[in-house]
Amino acid sequence: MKAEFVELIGKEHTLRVLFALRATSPQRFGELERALDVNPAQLDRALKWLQERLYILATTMPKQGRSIVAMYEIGQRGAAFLDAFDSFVQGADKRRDVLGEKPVRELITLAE
Amino acid sequence: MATVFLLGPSEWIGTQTGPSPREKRRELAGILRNHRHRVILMEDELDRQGEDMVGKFDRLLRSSTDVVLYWPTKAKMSTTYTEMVLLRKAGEEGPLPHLWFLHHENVATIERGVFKVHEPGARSRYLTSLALLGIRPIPWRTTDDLRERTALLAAELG
Repeated sequence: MKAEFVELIGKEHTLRVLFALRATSPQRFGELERALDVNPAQLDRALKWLQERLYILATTMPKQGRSIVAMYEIGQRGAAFLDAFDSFVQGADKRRDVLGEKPVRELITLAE
Repeated sequence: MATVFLLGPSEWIGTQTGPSPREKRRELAGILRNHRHRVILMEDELDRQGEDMVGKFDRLLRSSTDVVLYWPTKAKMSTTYTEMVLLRKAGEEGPLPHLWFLHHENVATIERGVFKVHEPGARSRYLTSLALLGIRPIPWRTTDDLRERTALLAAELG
C-alpha cells in the first residue's frame, strides 16, 4: 500500500482537481470536467478519493427537478497539502542543477 | 474553536455486540474535544425550567457553529428523525450552522456530482429532505475510518 501523500501525487487527476479547486471554489462536477478536460469516470474517482479524506468538501444543494447536486470546494487539509507541495516544488526548482533538469521540470508540470 | 452539536442514534435495531451507537457518539465527542472543540450531546444537557424538547433543541442548535450527524447502518433512527425534522424546520426559519453528515458508505454516495441516498423507505425520505438544506457528507467504512475522519473533521472545524 502506498503512503497517502505519494498516492495523492501519483494518482491520476487528484492533484489537478486540488489545484483547480484552489483556484476556483466551489465548482460543480460538470464545471470541473470542462475545466480539466477529463473523462467523467476518472474525475468521479478522483473526487471520491479526495472527499473521503477531507482534502476537498462536498456540499449538497437542490437542483431543478428532484436531484440533489454537490458543489465541491477545497478543504483546509487540501489547502495545507498544496502549501506544502508548493514549498517542495520551489525547493526542487532552486536545486535543479543537482536534482536534474528533467525531473524538476516534470514536478513543476504537476503543479500547473 | 467550534461548538459542535453531535446528533445521531443511540441504539441498534437488533442485538449486536460491541459498543452501541450512543457509546460510539460519545467516543466521537471525545475525539472532537481532544481538538479543543466544545461538543453538545442532547442527552447530557439539562432541561431549563418551562422548556420543552423543541425549545431545548432550538436553544442548543442556535448556540452551535456546526452540527455533526452520525449515521451508521442498522440503528434505530426514530429519535434522529425527530431531530432531523426540527433541523429542517429551523432551516426554514433562519440560517443554520454548518451541517456535517458523517455516514456509513452504504447510506449515500455522490456519483458524478449527484447525491444519492441508498437507504430504504423513511430513512431515504428524511435524509433527502435534510440534504436539501445543504449538508457536507463524509463517508466512512470501518470504525477505524470513522475515528480517522472525525479527527480530520475536527481539524477542518479549526
